Amino acid sequence: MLLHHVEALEILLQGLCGVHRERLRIHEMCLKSGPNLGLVASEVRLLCDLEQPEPAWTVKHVGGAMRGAGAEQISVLVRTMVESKASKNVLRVFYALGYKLDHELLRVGFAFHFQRGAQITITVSSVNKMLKLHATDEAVPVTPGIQLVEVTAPASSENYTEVVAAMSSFCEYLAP
Amino acid sequence: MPVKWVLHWQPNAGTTVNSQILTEVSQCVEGINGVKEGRWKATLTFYRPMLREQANMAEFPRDFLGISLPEQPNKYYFVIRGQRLVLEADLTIQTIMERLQSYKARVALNFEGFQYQLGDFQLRVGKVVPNHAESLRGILMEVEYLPISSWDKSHQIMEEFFDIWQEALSKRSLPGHFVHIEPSFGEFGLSEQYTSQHTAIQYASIVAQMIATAQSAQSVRN
Repeated sequence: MLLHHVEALEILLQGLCGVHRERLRIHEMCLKSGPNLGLVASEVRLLCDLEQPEPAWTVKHVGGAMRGAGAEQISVLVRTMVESKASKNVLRVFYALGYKLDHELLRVGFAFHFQRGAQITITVSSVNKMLKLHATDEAVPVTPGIQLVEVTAPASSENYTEVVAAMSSFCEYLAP
Repeated sequence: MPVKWVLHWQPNAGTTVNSQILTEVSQCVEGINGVKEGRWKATLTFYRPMLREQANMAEFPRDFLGISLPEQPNKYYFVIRGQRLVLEADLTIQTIMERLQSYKARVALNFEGFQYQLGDFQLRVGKVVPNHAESLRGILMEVEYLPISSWDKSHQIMEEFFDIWQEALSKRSLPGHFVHIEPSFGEFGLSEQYTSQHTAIQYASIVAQMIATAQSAQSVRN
């Protein structure tokens, strides 16, 4: 969405979610397996939350999107995702295992976490690239003037239809 | 958290560990008034790289271990000893490794036995057994001193306890003795304030020592 709509969106979200926004500053590193590693190539993301007093690391694996007739009837994208918090040398560990940095970006913006039929997170952020390796202080927007709005909610195989319904319902408030 | 020494049984040359030694060790703990509390169990898993071409095995770590500890039921630890790396993560990191399919969990070792309280010390005596077998591969002991969490400050009292313990055990004339390896925690980026990451490193060091001892005994037999 365009930058000048962000303030209006923030006011709308404040009203809808009923919680205070949280600042978002996440350094995301996308690692891919080296050429010989694994029978198939693999990808893992390391997220470093720079808003915490000490940088807090999370390892994230996102699987493929749900496909098939069932998926076509759902209005949102359903993907498997597994996350784990990790201690600070997680990047060195994955390098030692044979993973290489494919790309990195810095997301800067804000987030709302709230409960509305499901535990929903909405983030509004600019996606920035670093001109030098890991130089988060010198990041520039990938698409200047445009921000990314993402709405996510965790679900299990038992409850994902309820979660999908909650997300679809919430997203209707955001339609232009 | 309290400082802990992890000891492993070093059999005398030409002997192997057996369950009778484990029984004697447990009886010795009770003999010095250790009060039996409950069971404990830790697990160590060897991970091996899945490679498209075997020729490049040397590029990947051969000592990549995963460890679960009873005092941290929601955590999992990775150690790559050769590169002095230790990682603490949530249990879900195991699921992530399964999904990545770049490394597969191969052999797993269980460390299990009983826990004892002895004044300000908490002791654990355990057998080392492969996950799907009954054969005893080793004996391990944890000595935790509850009042102190500084590795440096605890050294004297831990040494004194170790000497008392060795002396009590020596009266049973067993074919071996307990050994304490002191890893260089600083090389792993850890401070001298004790954490479960320190414990994970001690377990990794002990298993490396056990493997080296077994390989050395094998080459002598050959």
